[in-house]
Amino acid sequence: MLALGIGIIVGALTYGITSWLGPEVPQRRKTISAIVVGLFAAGAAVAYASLPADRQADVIERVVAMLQGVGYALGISALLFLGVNWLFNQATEKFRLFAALIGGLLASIPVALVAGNGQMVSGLALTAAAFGAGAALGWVLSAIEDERTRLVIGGAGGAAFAALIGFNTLPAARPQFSFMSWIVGSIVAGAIVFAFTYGLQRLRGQSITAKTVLTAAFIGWVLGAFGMSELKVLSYGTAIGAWAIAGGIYGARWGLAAYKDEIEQHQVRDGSRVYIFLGPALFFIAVALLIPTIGTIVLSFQNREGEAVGFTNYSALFGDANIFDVSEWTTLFTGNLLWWGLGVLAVGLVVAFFAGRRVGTTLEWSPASGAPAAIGVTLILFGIFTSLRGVIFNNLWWVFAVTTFATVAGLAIAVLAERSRFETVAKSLVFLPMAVSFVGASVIWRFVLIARPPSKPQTGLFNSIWTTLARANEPGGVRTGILLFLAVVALGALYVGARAIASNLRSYAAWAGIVLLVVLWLVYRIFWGGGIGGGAVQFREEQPWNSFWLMVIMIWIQTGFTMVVFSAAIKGVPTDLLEAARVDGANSSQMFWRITIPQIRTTIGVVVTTLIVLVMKVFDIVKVMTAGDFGTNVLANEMWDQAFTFINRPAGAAVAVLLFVSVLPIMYVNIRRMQREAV
Amino acid sequence: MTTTAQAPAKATSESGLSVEAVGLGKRLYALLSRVPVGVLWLLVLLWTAPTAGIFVNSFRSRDAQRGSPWWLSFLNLDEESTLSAGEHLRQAYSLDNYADVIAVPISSAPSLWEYAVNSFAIVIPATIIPIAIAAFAAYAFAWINFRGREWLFVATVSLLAIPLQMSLIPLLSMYSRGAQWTIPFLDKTIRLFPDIDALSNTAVSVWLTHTGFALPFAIFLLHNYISTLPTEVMESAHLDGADHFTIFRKLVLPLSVPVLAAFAIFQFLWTWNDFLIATTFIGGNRAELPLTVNLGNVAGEFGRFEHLMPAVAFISTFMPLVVFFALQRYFVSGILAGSTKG
Repeated sequence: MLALGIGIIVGALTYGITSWLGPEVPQRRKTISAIVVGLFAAGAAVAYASLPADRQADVIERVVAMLQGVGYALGISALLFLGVNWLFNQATEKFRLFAALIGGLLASIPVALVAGNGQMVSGLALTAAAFGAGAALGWVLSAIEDERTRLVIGGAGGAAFAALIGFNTLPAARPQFSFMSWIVGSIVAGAIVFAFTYGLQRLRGQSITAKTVLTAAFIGWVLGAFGMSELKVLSYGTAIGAWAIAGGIYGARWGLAAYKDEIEQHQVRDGSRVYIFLGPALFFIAVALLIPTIGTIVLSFQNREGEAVGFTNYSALFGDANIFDVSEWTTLFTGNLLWWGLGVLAVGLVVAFFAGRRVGTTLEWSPASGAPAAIGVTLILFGIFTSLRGVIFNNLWWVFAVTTFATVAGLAIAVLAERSRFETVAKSLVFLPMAVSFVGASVIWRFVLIARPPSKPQTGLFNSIWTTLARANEPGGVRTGILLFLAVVALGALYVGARAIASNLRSYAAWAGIVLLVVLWLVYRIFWGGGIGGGAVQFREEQPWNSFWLMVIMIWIQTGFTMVVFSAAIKGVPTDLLEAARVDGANSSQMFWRITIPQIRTTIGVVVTTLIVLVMKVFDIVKVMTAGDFGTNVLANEMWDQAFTFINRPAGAAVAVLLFVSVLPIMYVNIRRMQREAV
Repeated sequence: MTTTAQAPAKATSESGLSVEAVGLGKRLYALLSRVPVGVLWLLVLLWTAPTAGIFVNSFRSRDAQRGSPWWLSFLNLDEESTLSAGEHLRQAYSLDNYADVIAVPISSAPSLWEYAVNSFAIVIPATIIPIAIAAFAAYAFAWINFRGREWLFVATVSLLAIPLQMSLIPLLSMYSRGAQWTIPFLDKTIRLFPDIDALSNTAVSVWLTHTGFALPFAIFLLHNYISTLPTEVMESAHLDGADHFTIFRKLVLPLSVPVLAAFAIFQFLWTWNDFLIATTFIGGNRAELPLTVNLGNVAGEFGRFEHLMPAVAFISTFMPLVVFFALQRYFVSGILAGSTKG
């Protein structure tokens, strides 16, 4: 009863949330999803009620802990953001409070940094003291209009407090006095910083102010006195001196800025918004993407001890037979694929040549010539990829196979669905795998590809079909059924072929011919040529085709994506173009190849580049299905294994850089296009 | 659409193939004209069969799953059995697998609901926080004038080109060892972020990473939308004395709900289905693993719990499916927009 209540409440909530998020979502869909979620919640409640009491306590504890964690994460983020906004609002409301808070932050951040490195006698207390002192200084300075007075008070206050901090630093943060670094080093470093800022300000058309000079002096002093000289000195004197000078310049610089008139206060408040709005984003991007990327590139040129080794990691990559193996290239010529591919390609070329003679071009590409040519090229490339082994060729095979098949299948389904009455249903079903994770898809396909021992019934779809086909080699029901089916297909093909020749439609005739040839070949195989089908196949293990069965999973997922994109593009083809073609007497095939395809060419480009980048980085499927064994490894998995299984970080970094470099040109094209479209 | 959605028969007849065919030919022709629709349904069937298989099998016992294929599960294949067809059907399907995977721990690991809780602990912050951060950044790029706006935006979007793999190693060591910076030429190292070690192997490290990775794309997507909001509205708000924070809250946020929803769905799916980041950053801590990684691990072990796999897989994919059916339109636009993510 309670479970039912929970189910109803959760269902109602779902309905409410979906209505709020998507007001235009159809009523029926909202109702169905609310019912499904409600049932799920009720089921969860039943499952919860069936647990013993101590396990129930576990559940509550875990859920509460999760909600707490999420609450903290969201709460802290929101408070930080709103707090900073509030702080800068004070610039126009209570300027002295604002100045005090900023002063406190400016004083405590450097102290916290030093304390955080463990170089302070009592870090927390001193950081708090620094905040207090800075706040007091900011409060005082913000009321003084005279610039020189602020310079003096700020400098003196900063120096005095910094001397106290210097007294409290541990030896590792106390610099040794040396004329070269303290005087010469500081001046040189300060001059460089000054020159840099000067140039920048000139570019922006600003004039140099005392603030610029003081900033340069401060950075120069810190670099000279603390950066270039020996640290770890036991005496207090130099530490107090170095800190006091640093604090003095810092304080004087702050003193100059601490007073604002009303216009400047508004400028502070409005100018701060850019930094507040962009700050978190840039921080996360820098920490999660930019700095690690530089780190990985640097790491790939080092050995495990962190010494620079040039391109050693990269040459090791290409020397590894698991990664780059061309030793079995001769199998390309002993296998069937190359010759079949060349044969089919030749057929395509011949058809294209004769068709071209008719219309006056060298080669005329139509379905009748283009399809055999494309199939031929595919067969040849498959021949190449099955004879050249290793991670890199596997990756290229993935890219080629998934991109080609997913694009063709998506286009085909989009076109066919366009003519169907049940377009939405068909498209939804094909799109469904996009919602499933790669891991989920791998598990689903495990059961499709599974092989049981020959004595047991085959429960996997593929092996079941394969072993059933094998029964056609013996006389019996299965053989009769298959032969009957083939006979119907052959009759249909004959009929189409005859009508097509009569109506002078060569591409239809060519297709009928191809279907007839396939039927004849199958009949030949069944009776004389070694049979069709076979015993159970270990799809995950039998090299080199096991890689292809993994690619099938990706094709299964990505076809939904290509189909939706193509479907939208096809609907966008101008109808008057199609009408004009129809009036001119074009048939539907010609309309598709001559109008629709050229019209959606850009979309095809988008789909192909997107797929290439996605497939280049394929990881989950290989990891879950084979963990890269049985010769199925790909770059992303090799990178992961090197870096996290064998703990050879530099080798992993080198693979990552290789991956990065190979997607870079395509991503460049993609991003350029995205930006063009955005404008 | 209206002109291309022809009845297949008509479309083919326009190709010039036979109008005057009679008798057997006519019937055969009618059959052939349905071939495209037949091919479509064959393809749809092919695409649906794997999912249907796992769904049916999730209700079947271990012996049944191993004994007969799922598409024959409604038949009683056991010749010695005396059950009637109805009794067989009643016995063939049960909720036992679901009860097992939800309540009973698999191989001494946490049970499934705990992994689901872990997933939510990652997915909720990893969806909400990037949206908030990116919305503010996108607004700044679109409507606040500041120096270097164009090149900073281009630079941010260009980072889409970086594959996740480039960040994994440094980020992992940062979460476990803190962040240090060795100043070039001076040979001194400053610790910028303490090595608290509390981040390694936690959900926090995963959603922090997701947040960082999501931002370039999120900013790009939201900027596209926010920058097309009418200029007049913004300007009149400015003239009324509203500052950027107020405009963002009162005007931009309500107007941007569609794009925010699209990104939220995309990000939700991305993080819920993510395997790489979670397995890298919390792979060593079973207690905090999300559902997807657990599914991958169980798939690796297989064997003894093979018969529970369909139920586990179905529960793991349940959330995305609900989102899919409930918000299909946003879902599609989210997926399409997200397809270019790096």
